[in-house]
Amino acid sequence: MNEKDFEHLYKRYAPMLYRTAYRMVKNDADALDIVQDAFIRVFNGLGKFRNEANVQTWMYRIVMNLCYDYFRKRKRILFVSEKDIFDSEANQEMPVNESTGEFAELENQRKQNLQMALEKLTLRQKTVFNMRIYEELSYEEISKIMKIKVGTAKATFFQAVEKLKTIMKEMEKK
Amino acid sequence: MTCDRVRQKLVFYVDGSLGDAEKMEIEQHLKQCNVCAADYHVIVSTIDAARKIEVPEHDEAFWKIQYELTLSRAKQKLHRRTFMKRLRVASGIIGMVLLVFASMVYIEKNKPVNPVNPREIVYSIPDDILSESKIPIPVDELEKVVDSLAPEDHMMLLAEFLR
Repeated sequence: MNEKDFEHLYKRYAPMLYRTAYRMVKNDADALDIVQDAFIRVFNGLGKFRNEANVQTWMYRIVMNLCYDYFRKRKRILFVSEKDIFDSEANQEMPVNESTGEFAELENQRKQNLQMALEKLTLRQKTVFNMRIYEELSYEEISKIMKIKVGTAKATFFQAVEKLKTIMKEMEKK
Repeated sequence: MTCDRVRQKLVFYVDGSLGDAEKMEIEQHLKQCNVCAADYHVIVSTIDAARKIEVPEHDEAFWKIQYELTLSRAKQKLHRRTFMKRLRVASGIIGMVLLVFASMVYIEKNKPVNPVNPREIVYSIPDDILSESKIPIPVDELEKVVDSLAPEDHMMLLAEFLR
């Protein structure tokens, strides 16, 4: 592939793919590695790209596959046990800033709870949730990237939100 | 719309993927039902909190360096792949040549040896012996006799001749 085209693709999609990868692996260096590997695949395999799918869909799929490989290799446990969540929650002493109001503190706590709750989602639920909420992709686009039906994408998103809602409610009760 | 139906649709109402008619029905229901309205607020706050989770931002200069690194690694990988491809083709050709050579040697070594048919042995009998004066019968008669001999007689005759 032409270097100029490659540079154009990189400038356009690298930051976006990095955000996607980061939200999945929660680690800057690993997310950057995933983006690099994705672009190496793109550089060496643009001939395999079929025009019926758009470049963005194709690149998202590469990143998603690399994220799945990452989890497979690391054998990372996606489901944090209930005990772990509440233990880590209890151990986390929120830094109390005098200038920070109660509302900001509550928001911060909510964000932390949600981050932990997101870890409880299955890989598929997390992928669909991230694509819908952060990348604002349509269900059609998500279904193409993940090679699933539109209905399955919608159902997965629904399950993800329901699960997050339940976990958040439980955490707030505590 | 019933509460159950609304709760199934609330997630899609919040993410903005519902059609106008369904949206209006849900809005109408939320005005009247406190339980569903509470559920709606939980979904909104969950999604809002999710949107607030930050991702580290990198500037343009950082991405420029990343691009150079990626390009150089991609080129290295491409060269390695091309080299390996050529190596595979060359090994294939060498393998084929060796296989043909080995087959030829094997065939040559295992060629079946045809048993010697004594009748096919050409006796080179000196002319003076064959002269009619020394043989009691004419040469063509003698040849007929030789042809009619059994293989073991041929062998005896040959042994006698060689002795």
